[in-house]
Amino acid sequence: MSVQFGDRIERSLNERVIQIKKAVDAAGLEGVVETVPSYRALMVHYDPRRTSQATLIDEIGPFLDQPASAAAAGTHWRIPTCYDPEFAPDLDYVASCTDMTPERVVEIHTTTPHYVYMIGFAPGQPHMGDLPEELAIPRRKDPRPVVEKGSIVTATGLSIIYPVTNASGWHIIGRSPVSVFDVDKNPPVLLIAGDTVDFYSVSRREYDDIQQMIDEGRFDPEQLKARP
Amino acid sequence: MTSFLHVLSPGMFTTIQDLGRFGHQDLGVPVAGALDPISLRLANALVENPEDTGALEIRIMAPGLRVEADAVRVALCGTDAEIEISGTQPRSIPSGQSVRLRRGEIVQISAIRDTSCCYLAVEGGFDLPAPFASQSTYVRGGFGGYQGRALQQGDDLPVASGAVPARTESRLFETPALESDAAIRVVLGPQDNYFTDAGLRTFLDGEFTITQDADRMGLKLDGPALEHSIGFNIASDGIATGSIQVPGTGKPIILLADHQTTGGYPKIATVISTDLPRLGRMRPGRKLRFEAVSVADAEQARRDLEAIVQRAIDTIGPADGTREPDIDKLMTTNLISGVFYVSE
Repeated sequence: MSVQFGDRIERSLNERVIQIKKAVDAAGLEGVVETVPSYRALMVHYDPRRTSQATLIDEIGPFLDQPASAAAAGTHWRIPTCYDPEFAPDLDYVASCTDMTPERVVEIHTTTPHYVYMIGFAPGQPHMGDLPEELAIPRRKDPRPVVEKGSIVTATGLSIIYPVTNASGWHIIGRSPVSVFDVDKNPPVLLIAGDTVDFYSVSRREYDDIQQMIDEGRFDPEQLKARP
Repeated sequence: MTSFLHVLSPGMFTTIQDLGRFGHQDLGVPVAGALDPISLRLANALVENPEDTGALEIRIMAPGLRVEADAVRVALCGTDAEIEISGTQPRSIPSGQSVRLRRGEIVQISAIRDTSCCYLAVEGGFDLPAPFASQSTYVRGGFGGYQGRALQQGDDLPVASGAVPARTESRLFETPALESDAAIRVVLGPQDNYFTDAGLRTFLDGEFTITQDADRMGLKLDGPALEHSIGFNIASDGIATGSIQVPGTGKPIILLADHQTTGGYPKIATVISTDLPRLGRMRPGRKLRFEAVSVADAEQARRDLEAIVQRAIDTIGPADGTREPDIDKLMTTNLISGVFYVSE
């Protein structure tokens, strides 16, 4: 069952989705298997042996009548990102599309606060926004078969950090050494819906240093949390 | 001493699957799990496992295994093929019956012609980790099952019970047959409004063929293209197992167990859960049609199916006994389309 809140990507709609998800999860409704929030819809997976859509509409309906509450602030993260050409094969293309210098694209990307709308498609994969209109460009016509883990990609004003190497039709503008998904970690997922993210630019050398600390188990993700 | 099943040959795409990994899709973690959960449950029941114990999901070409344990018990379900045992005491065991195997015996399975997937359950299950509380292998994510991948030659699969006692073996006397040429039933939506009336008609009237592009994630279909009305990009939303998404080509893709948790193509309909095992068993080249049903009918079908599965499990008894099927009872209680009984 899908509870839909319009058809646009908009932070207020998404905060409503997350609010209703929390309410449904807390209610512990019989037969609800799990709830999956996305930009503007909440998918409620249920077991028809234990409940029905009609029952769930009666049970979930009242939650929708409650006024939107101020969203509880998510965790605020600072994610190191290397925008060197080696890691950003599409940065020049994005710059030329938007009539900016590559430096200006990086400046906008690192000064725009990003909101995590949803985690989805692949384990731990955050979908974040919104870049200003001037940086919102369409996806590639021809998806790339291989985009490396950690790549920061953008299209339509949104940004994604790739949790694993995968295909992508988005534009690669940087790479972070930080893993947003690691099945052996607890918790395995770094970012969750409702969090906020600032990207900050690091040199290739700083990238390698952080990567080495991660590889040697000396990197504590806690230090990625922004200090209030 | 640790007990193993040693993989002599891996088969086409053999993975460990249970009933799926629920409760983590909000973190982007897919459900995975058996393509035909009914046959998995029956195989587990035959070796007295909890129904959601991980078992080998065998795709078309079965693996060859050598028993490196004192005694293990296995059962095969979901196919008419047989377990073929070689060693000191060569024998064949039909599907739907448990068998105890001794150290050094070699297990193979005769040619599988009737399905794309079947299940070999092991008493006690596999002694393997369960990331996110499930042993289901999710190959794209590289976790679950045996090292997050399909079996390879030389693998040693640790079994939890390596010295099972002898007892009368069990047999499944009535099998719910999931093969049928009936239309695949769907509930329309949630984005059926992204299609023209002609597009929707084509979907419900047309005949589609499962292409070679078919795996645990989904089945790409060939057939008449479905006409979109207001484009083919949506703000990504949740996907259910059985969601039918239609990208710009107009050719539908049915998403199965390993589906991504969210997607940005419009979904014209969702296959009802009752018909998913039948779909999961289909091979490339198979033709199919769709029929729209109401949500209430879909939910009722799922409850009816559950009753059928439970009744099948209730027919499990000693393999050396005989049991007359109660034909009258079967005829009066399982008249739902798409699923029916065959008796022995």
